[in-house]
Amino acid sequence: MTAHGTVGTAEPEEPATAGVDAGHDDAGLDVTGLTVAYPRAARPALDDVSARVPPGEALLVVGLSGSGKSTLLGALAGVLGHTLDAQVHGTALVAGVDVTAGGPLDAARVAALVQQDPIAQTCLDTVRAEVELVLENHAVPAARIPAAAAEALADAHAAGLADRRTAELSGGELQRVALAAALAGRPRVLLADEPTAMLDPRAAREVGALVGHVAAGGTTTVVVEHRLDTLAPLPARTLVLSDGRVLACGPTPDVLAEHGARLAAGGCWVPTRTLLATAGAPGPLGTPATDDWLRDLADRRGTQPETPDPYRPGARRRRPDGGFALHARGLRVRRTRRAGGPWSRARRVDVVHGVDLSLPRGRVLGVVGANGSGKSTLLRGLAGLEPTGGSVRAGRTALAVQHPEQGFLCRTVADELAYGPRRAGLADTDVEAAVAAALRRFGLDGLADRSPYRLSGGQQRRLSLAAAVGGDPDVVLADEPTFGLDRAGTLDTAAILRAEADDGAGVVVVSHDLELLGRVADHVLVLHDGRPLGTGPAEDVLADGELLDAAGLERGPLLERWAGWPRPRPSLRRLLTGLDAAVAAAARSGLPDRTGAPA
Amino acid sequence: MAEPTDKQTAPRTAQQTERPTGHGTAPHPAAPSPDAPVRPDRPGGRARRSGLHATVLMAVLAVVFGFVFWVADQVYAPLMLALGPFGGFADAVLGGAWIVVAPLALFILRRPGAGVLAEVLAAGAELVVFGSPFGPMVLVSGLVQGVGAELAFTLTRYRRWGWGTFALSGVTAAVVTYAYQSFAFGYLGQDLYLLRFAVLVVSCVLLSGLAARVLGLALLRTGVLDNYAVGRLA
Amino acid sequence: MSARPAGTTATAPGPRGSALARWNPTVKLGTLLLAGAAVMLVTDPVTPTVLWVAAVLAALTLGRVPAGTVARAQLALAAFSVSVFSANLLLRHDGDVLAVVGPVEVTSGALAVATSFAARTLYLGTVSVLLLTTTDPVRLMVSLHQHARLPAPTTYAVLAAHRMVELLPAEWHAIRCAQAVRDPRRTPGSPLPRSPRALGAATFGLLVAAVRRAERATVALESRGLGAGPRTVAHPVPLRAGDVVAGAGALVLVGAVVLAGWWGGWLAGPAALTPG
Repeated sequence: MTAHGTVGTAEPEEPATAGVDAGHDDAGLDVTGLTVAYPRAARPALDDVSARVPPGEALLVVGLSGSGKSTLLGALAGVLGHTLDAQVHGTALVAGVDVTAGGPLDAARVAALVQQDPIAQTCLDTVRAEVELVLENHAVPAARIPAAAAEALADAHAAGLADRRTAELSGGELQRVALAAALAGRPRVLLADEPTAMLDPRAAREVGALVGHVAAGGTTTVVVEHRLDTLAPLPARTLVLSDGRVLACGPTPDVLAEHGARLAAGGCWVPTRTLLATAGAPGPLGTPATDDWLRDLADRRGTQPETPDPYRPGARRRRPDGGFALHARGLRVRRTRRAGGPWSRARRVDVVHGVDLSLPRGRVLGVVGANGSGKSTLLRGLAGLEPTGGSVRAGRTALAVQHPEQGFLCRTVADELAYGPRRAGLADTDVEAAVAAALRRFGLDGLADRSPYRLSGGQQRRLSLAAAVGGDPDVVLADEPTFGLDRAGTLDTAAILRAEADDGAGVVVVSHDLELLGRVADHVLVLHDGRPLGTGPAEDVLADGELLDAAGLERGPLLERWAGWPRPRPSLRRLLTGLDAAVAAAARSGLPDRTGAPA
Repeated sequence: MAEPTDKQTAPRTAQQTERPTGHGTAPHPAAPSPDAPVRPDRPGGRARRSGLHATVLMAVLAVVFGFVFWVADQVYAPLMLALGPFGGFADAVLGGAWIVVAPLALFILRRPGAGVLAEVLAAGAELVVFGSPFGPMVLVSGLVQGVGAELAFTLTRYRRWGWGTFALSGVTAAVVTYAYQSFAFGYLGQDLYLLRFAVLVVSCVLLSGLAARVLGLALLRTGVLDNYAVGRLA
Repeated sequence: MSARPAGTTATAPGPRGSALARWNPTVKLGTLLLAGAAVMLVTDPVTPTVLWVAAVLAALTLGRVPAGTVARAQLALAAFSVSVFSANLLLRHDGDVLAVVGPVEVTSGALAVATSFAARTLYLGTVSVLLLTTTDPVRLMVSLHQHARLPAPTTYAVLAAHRMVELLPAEWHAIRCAQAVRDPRRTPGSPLPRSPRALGAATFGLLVAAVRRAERATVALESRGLGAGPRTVAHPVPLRAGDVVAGAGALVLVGAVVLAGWWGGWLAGPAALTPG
């Protein structure tokens, strides 16, 4: 089967274009029979993919995890088979340039790339230099560079960042700078690889709107995304990849209507509208009928356990009941700062002040706050990793850090899981049993001998959680545990954290994701500039729009709607988990098997 | 992981599996043998490498080691001071660690000159970023150390990458470096001149040559070197 | 370590707006390299001491380096200098015995050489601080590209690595915290472990992260067209006759100090290291 997607209005087939170059008029995209295989991979990452994008059109590429969407973008940027190793067959003409043969330097003449990781793709230490580099590489005369750089920054809504140092910028600001650098070269084709995946919700929405605007503005654009809820407007056309093959290609509304449930169940953050439609809502969010349907969903699903703990059916509880897991009064956390390089004076500053919290066993505390509000530092203080003032009383504490790789210590996954039990002095047989149980519980079976660094992002996240909860700690601290995860990974993580609490641990979750807290948290603490701005039962805090706004946070459409309902509102947790269950049910009932793509 | 929401849908891995840059794209049954001869990864010879990849890696290794040595200085400087005259000896004991970048760069990149360039870049990082007490002369030190460490690989015509060559690299690094230091640091004419040399040779063999290969093999296992010469050896 | 866009440095206050900062960085680097090399074979105490004082004065006046920064740097260098001094004092025997400390004899020849090396350490370290505080890395790399024919990909590879330096301390701390908290036997509130094993594990974690970043930075630089063909320079660094004259002048000064020692009879060379 040759999967072939043609995008955009029907065009008469152009005669074969031999020796096309940047000067050729075609500023679109023409991919024919593209197959990409990574070394030592069992199967190709892309298998005979063909697609056309006419000049000026925008294409959204979506797919389940491992479907090859980032590979497609890597091939279009000319990176695969050149900078990064891969066997590439077929052709990809980007604005007439054969990038599979020419590599990234040929591709750079006509195309620009925005990558996923905002920090890693920023190469220079000032914003201005970052953008000017592109202009220099395109041999723009020096006299015209400052104006061109300013223009590009303005196009990316980053004009105010021109004089900043890149080390000071947030992820969202860095992605805007990356977009400015991409636009500075006046590319005929813009390639964006999950530009919002590593951003907090507000920044994701801003960058998503920016990319959506560029895509709608006449530059040929290919956007790979799994957070479709942030990209606005969505590109007119959508290509769905599955196992490296084209599953569907067509107008975005049609494709989402047909494949939305599957994408949602498979991990994409689909737009709320699609999510509701998939779950069987009678209309879009905001209509009375849908309101009633949602209330009913919460009540109905609430009567039965919607997410039974999938990990330990009937397992005995490992921790004692009752009492406090964590108790802090007037907590201050200090950091040492050295502002001006190695010879400057070191200063100790309080990053977090005056935090009081009491966490009973079996409860989940959510901590929210904008970037730089001191959330991660608070967790380190609670874990006894930073100097603290005030009083903290805590049982045995474990911390799952924001970037799992930072905590790895061993050669293999099994050794990572054995590290804690061994250090705790368990007998070898007990260690083995603990490792086997953790591998099973966290879906890491078959990966025991793999290097932890070779796991996928989601697997690393699970390993990190597994190692943290392995010793049955009294307090589980989780720092942005769903950062960069797809929807399914986020739901899995939520279930694990809830299960730990149900088993008697006190759980503290730091997150930007208010919906995640709606799912798992009992209480929420709002931090702003290192100080508590408010605290209370999760639903009260999440319903308090003024408080969230003051902390620089914002709710998604679903939470916003829920908060707008008059009291008594249905339970938010039941509403969200009920919706998850309805989506999962829809995915189970009406979907083609993953391997059986329609011919 | 068990699927709480959708047991019937296909098995799923998290979204980063497909990234071409690093995370396991596929089962890696075994780490490749780093001793096999280099083969071009595209038999058709279509791959165009700009060399930037290798240069960025060398520069990054340089700053990371520059940083780690700077941190180690902060941690161990009081110890050195306490040792007094034997602080210089502690310097010889740990001396090899300062030359680990050159054999590591050669292990990863397998190309002539990588060791010298990486070591000079590391010296540059020490100078420009961390303010070395050796002043601009640290660049000369870097050059000397790089040449010394790379000499073993040049002598074996860049064909042998086993433990023996890396151990030899420690010896050549020690010889060349000590010849330079005899004048630059005034070791010449001091008591225990030969003992200090012997200590440096042992240090370089262990902490430079062999340590570089151990570190390289460990990095190879993590997959981050898959797109460099050493990772391409099938 | 701050780096403003090249070209705006001239008006900045502090070391980055000083005469030394305006000096062409390639010429400055070359001059200071030669000025440093000049003392490598000198073993008398006077010559490096004079040069050290000159370097400190240059840092304070021509470089406008704040006195506090210079002082802190001298203190850090002093530790190293003391170590060099005591090693040479106690491990050398030449000339009259000046004192006997336990089993060790302190000789006049050893004192001279030890003082020389200690002063040399201070001199070279001060030159290093001078370079560090008055040189904008971007300007240096642009100048090396323009005036020393360093290829653009190499200069930008170095700058990409330099940008990573600023991220390293935070990353290092995060890694040490993340690894330390894995240990169930750790006492909360105790300092992060500093054993060679713990530092080694943290170094490895830092390396893995850095190599991953290097790859993404490479993709970013290549997809932005670095190395694709002829390029322009947004803020060229000027190379004027004055830059070269200043370099020559500085070297003449260093030469004069050495020559003065020769005429005055106090200059000593490497021969002093191996008496007899």
